[in-house]
Amino acid sequence: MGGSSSSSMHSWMHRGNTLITFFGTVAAVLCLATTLTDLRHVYTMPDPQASVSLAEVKRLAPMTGSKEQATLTFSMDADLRSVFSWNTKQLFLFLQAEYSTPDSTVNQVVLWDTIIQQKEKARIRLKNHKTKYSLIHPSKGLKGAPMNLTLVWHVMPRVGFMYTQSRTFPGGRLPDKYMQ
Amino acid sequence: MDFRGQRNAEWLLVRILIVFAAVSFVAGYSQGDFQLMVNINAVGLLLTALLVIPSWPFFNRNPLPWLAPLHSAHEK
Amino acid sequence: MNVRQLVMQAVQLGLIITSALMIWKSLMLVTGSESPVVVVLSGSMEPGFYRGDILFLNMGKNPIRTGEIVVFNLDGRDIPIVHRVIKVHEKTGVNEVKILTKGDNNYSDDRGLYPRGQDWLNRDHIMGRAMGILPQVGMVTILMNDYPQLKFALIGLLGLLVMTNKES
Repeated sequence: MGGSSSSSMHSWMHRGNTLITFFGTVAAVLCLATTLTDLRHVYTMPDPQASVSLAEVKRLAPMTGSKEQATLTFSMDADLRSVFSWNTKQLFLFLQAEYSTPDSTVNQVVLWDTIIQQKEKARIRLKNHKTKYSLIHPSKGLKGAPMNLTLVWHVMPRVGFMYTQSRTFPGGRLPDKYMQ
Repeated sequence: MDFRGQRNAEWLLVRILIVFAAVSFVAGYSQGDFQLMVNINAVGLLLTALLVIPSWPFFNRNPLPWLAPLHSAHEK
Repeated sequence: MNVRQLVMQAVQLGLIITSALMIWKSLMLVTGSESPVVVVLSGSMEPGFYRGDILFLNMGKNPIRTGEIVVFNLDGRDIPIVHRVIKVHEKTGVNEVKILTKGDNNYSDDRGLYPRGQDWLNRDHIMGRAMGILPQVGMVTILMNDYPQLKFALIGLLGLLVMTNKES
């Protein structure tokens, strides 16, 4: 940062330059320090409570284009307050169905999602709740398929690294026959 | 500003920004308030800019001792 | 200012530019992604990401899974899109995967954005996964795109700052 300006007419610009670059450096250090507090938070926070269950399969039917669609309802009880840190901007919470079919080993379909921006609002209780998005499989294979319901929360910070945590719950088997 | 003033100004700049940064971090972390940290830093930046960029008289207390003007051959 | 000083300024400026380029290229190698850093251009991921936020990307060999925020290019568009994966269907045995994305702030999924006849993305479309965020620092690039006169003002300002940074 040393070196005096040889032109005193522009020395205020030199000071302005130094101010901005040094402030930038300080801000970067603060961002790093903040991220490190989050690292500590992740390893020391108490486990959040969560439980999810399938309430009912209301419909399982073929769809045009040789696809299949399942409509279901679920119940959920989650307390994610301990996940919030001072650096947490929001939690993106979603519920997904996971299942396998003979021609497709990995299938993940998001059924419902929500954004939680405040720690106080991080307790969610839903009963027999309708899904936001349909479970549509791009071919046949849903009949009798065993299914898991996984609750995932994506922690999105103000500064620094994002991370995901999840809990998987059994969802039983989809019906063996089509039902409307 | 004179050379001593320039150096003092930069000395002040570094110290003030660091102090505000440290205070803002401790305050924000302890209060669990990220915006607080941002605000304290903004205040610090503004304060430093006001203090350090303009050529205040207290930065000009060691002016260079210029020689008296030499009379040139064609003065009136 | 004599010729020598001018040349020194030019060399200094050149050094800054080439070091920036070196850092960019090494980031590309380390993260395995074509663009290790991306600026958020739209509000479709609000309130998680705002226009002007900078995202740090990583690619890696791990399979694409739901919940991940991916950056992808669509045929016929030059700006990359940053959205969340909401559906994954992987075919057994073959290295084939169907991916559907959606912006958090959008009502419907991205199928309307995909070119006609394309219902899914596959791994080749994905340029990287968002791992971290630096808020608002990228706003400068957005402003310079929206107001091109700012580009020239910034170059002029940079030139001025380099010149006033002379070591005597």
